[in-house]
Amino acid sequence: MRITDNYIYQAMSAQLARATERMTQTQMQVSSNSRLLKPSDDPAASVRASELRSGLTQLTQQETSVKEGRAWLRDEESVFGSIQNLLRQARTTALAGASTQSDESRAALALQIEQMKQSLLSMANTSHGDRYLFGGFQTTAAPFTEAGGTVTYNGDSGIKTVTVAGGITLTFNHSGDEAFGMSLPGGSVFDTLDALSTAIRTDSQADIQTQLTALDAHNARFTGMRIETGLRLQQADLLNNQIGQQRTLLTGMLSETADVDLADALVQLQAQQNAFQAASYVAGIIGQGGLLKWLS
Amino acid sequence: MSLFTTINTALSGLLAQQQGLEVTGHNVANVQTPGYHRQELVTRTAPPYPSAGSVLSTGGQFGTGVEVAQIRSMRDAYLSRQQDATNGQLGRWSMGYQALSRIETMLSPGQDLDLSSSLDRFFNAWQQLATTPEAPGIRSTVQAAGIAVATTFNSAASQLDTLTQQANADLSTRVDRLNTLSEALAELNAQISIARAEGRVPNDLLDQRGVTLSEMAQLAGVTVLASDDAAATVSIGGQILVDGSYARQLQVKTGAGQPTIVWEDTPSQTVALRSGEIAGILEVRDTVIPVYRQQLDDLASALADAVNRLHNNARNPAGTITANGQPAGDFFTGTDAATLAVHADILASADAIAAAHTANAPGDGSVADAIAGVARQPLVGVQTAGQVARALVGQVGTAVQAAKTQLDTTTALRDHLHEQDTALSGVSLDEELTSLMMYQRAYEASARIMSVTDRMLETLLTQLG
Repeated sequence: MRITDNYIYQAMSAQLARATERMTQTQMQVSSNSRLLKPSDDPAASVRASELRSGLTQLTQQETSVKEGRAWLRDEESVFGSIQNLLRQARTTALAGASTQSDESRAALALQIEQMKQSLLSMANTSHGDRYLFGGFQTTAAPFTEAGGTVTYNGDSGIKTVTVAGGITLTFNHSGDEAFGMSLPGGSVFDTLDALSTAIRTDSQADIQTQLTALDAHNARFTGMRIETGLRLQQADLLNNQIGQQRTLLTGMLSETADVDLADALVQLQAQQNAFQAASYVAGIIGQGGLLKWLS
Repeated sequence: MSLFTTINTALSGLLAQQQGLEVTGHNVANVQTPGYHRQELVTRTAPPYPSAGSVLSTGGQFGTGVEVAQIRSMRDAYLSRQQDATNGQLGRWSMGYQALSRIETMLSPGQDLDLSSSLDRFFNAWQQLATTPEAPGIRSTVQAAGIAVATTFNSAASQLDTLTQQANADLSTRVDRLNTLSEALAELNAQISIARAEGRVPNDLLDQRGVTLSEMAQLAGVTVLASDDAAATVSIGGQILVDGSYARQLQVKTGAGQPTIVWEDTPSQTVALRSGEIAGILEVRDTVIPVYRQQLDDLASALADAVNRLHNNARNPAGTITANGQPAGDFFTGTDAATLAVHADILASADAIAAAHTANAPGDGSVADAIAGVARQPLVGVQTAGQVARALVGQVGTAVQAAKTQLDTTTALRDHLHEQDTALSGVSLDEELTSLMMYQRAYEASARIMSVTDRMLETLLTQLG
């Protein structure tokens, strides 16, 4: 086949261009640590990588939401614990009042009960940061107020939920009116404490007994709610762990899909650089030859 | 036969070698000229004396020297047609690849800048609002995320529009160029015919015509119907474009919809182009861009509807109330990717964003929770919003890959044909220099014969006179 000068130069420059292109592509991959500089480098892998990144972004938000829920639930569980301690104390005090003879002692015990009612009121207005736990959706103002001895509930019965991935609903709270029995026919836990204190003062055994029964009923409700909160907290902890595991999994998969195998790439880069140098060297030699050099 | 005949024979030699030199010089001067086919001097013996059938008897036929039969240029018509066809394909795929690459860069500008990330941040903001609706400034985050999503859609739509406009501008330029070339071709055809009629083969004109045909093929994938050395007939879309010295013109017709290419003399007839850069541009403009645009539009409108259905008090059965205690309106306005925007009320104040069902319920984030859930619901067909966005990028990536493969294959074919072409018609400087040496020596030898004969004549004239 005839080889002409034009063909030689064209072939040379095409080879050099190809060698440069390959080298540059590998260099860019190495310096960005990404095999996928453009979607067309590997369309299926690019879509997968994009999906994994999206998953990781969503996980970050879910983690924040779950953490918020856990904090809320821990606070609630802790308050319920304190409330139950308080109610047990009230019971002991009431029993003592039932068996005390002197008016002054009974008055002192009744006063203790009244103070317990104030503590309970303060616990009912517990806040988590700047939001109140027991107001339902009324989280920005203290839900329980007292006027002339009567405690009124200013919140609502909203239950706060957040849906995390997989359609799992995380419930945060119990509303104040449910927790403290504000709508019960027998009266709220505050009413019960009031009645208990009165019963001790008037030394009415029958009344004390009635109110102790009511107190026990309230306590049983708190036990139930505390268990509920405990279970929700377990669920939140589980979700938190799962999120952590999922994050590790997705990060690993993303790395496999999109990252460059550095050792491999560097070897390739070296080979391509050698090829480029060899091509340049040969081009230099061929370019100088020809008959013209030898004719005078 | 006399000594004078010998001088004439030597003279014919001198003239022939001189012409050989000229041809060699022409080849060397045009070693870089695109489309140049190397030329060769073809000589033959001059008519012998006496010619056959003559009554003279001289004891044999004597040669009378050399004459130039023709100056032949080394060309292969079949190869040229193949090259033209390949150029047409190359033009088409290179336009397609270029446009698709631009679309790819636009839709995938970087890891956190694409539509999929923007949608993720949007839905994350709603989830945060659902978790802590009382937090000051949380609504501003949702507002900002909504604006970012709308802007990403708007920008994508606008860039596709720009590409379409660019395509139309490119189209116009190329049609003008094609018209210019058609006229040039007609002119060349006329000149070639005249030269032919005078009995000459116009090698250089044929080379120029080859270059013109090649460029026309690359632009519009024209078919060369009959190209003997006299006239090339060129057709496009099944109709004659150039016939002899007559050239028709094409025109870009604007009107309702996208501009089309029609014949200037019959504007009602569209020209069907199947290869060439113009066909590539039309393909991108009419089939590639609208498909992607449609997908973006479908996604934008489905997203707006899904969010509004939950956000707007009139459409949500459980009711929605803004932070200002008012019934909430739409979150998004607009019907497609170009018009998608956050509602003016929300742009004015982030407090117009609703998270709650009922008034005076600062801790109620249920509406926001539902909207955050849209991320996980099928939005277009069975795909979620993020899946649609990512699938679109995947589609473009695959299309770019396919176009690149076509382009590389066609380029390799073109290079292979070019190799064959230069093997036949390329100028090799070494070859020409060798010819140069040969013509030079032959010239010297003929001159020597002349001078020897001249001395012999001198001997005859001076010694015998």
